[in-house]
Formats: sequence, structure tokens, C-alpha cells
Amino acid sequence: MRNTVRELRLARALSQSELGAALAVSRQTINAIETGRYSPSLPLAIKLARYFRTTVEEVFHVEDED
Amino acid sequence: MSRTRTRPSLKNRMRRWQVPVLSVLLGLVFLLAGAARGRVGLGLAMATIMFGYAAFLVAFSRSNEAVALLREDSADERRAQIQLRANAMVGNVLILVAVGGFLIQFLREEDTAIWAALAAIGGVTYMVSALVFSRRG
Repeated sequence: MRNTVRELRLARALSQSELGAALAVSRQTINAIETGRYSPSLPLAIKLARYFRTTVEEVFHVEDED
Repeated sequence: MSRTRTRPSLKNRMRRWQVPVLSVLLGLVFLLAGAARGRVGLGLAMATIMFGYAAFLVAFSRSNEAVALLREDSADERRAQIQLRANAMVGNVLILVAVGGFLIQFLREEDTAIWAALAAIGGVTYMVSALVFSRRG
């Protein structure tokens, strides 16, 4: 699942640690989400979207299956 | 958007100290048990290992995620998932060892009771857990 977390974070000049602290998760978890190694739970995805004042659909994109 | 840092809750701050404190307490238990059996040196060595482990967790849990996992340092959902996987791996390995031990003892025509009991406990625990967790959704 692709996402725009890194773009949204950098647009606000936030570090991974700062975003992690704001969402009560670790820096490594933010990194894992940004690189697509970890898909967050629905509550965390909503929290992320709300933090950036957008919607979950705008942040996370399910890649089409062939 | 807010850049305010979220302060960890009291529960989370207390959880950070559970494993180090438990390690120190276990060290003290080993020390007392060693002294009670007249083996102070052994008790002291085991206590030193436990105290060292606690110090290691406290010193490196901020800089190393694997150490943070050993310390159960956060309520982070990804880390909770890693803990679950690690626990499942421990269960799988122990069951494998129990079944392997049973088979080896069986082939040697020696007593298999302890291995059979361990494997049975593992199997029953798995079945009961599956039942309970499936009902909880």
C-alpha cells in the first residue's frame, strides 16, 4: 500500500521523531509506514489523516491488482 | 495540525520500567536463593547477569529498537505486532522441541512422559487460546 505520509510530513518540515511523538508511535514506525514496510491499523491511519487535516483515502492508496 | 509533543501516559511510563525492575528483582531472588543454598558465588554471578541485563535495557532502549522491544518500551502498535510475532515464534520453537524430544525418546525406547506432557500443554493451550480469541473477535 502506497502512501503520502513522507510528502505530508516534509511539507510541514516535521521530523519522523516529531510526527511519531505527536501520534504516540515510535520514529521507526513512522519510517516503516513511509517506506511501505508496515500498514498502520485503521485507528492510526485515521489519526494520521486527521493530524494532516486530510482523509485516509488521500493519504493511503491501495495499489490495483492485475 | 499541531506540533505539540504527546507526553506518555503514566501507564506507559510505568510499563517502561516493568522489565528492568523485574530483572533486578529476579537478580535479588537469585542472590538470596544462592545464599540460602550456601552458593553465594553462583547467586552473585546470576544476580550480576540480571542487573547487567536491566542496565543494558535502560541504557540502549532509546537508541536501538530491538532493545526497546525487549524492554517493552512503548504502546506503539507496530511494536506490539512484533512482540506478538516473536511470542508466536517462541511457541513454535518450544512445540517443535517438545515434539522432537518426544520422538527421540520414543525411538530410544526411553521415558517420554515429560515431553508428551509439554507437547500436550502446548497443544491444549493453543486450542483454548484459539477458542477464546475467536469469540472475542
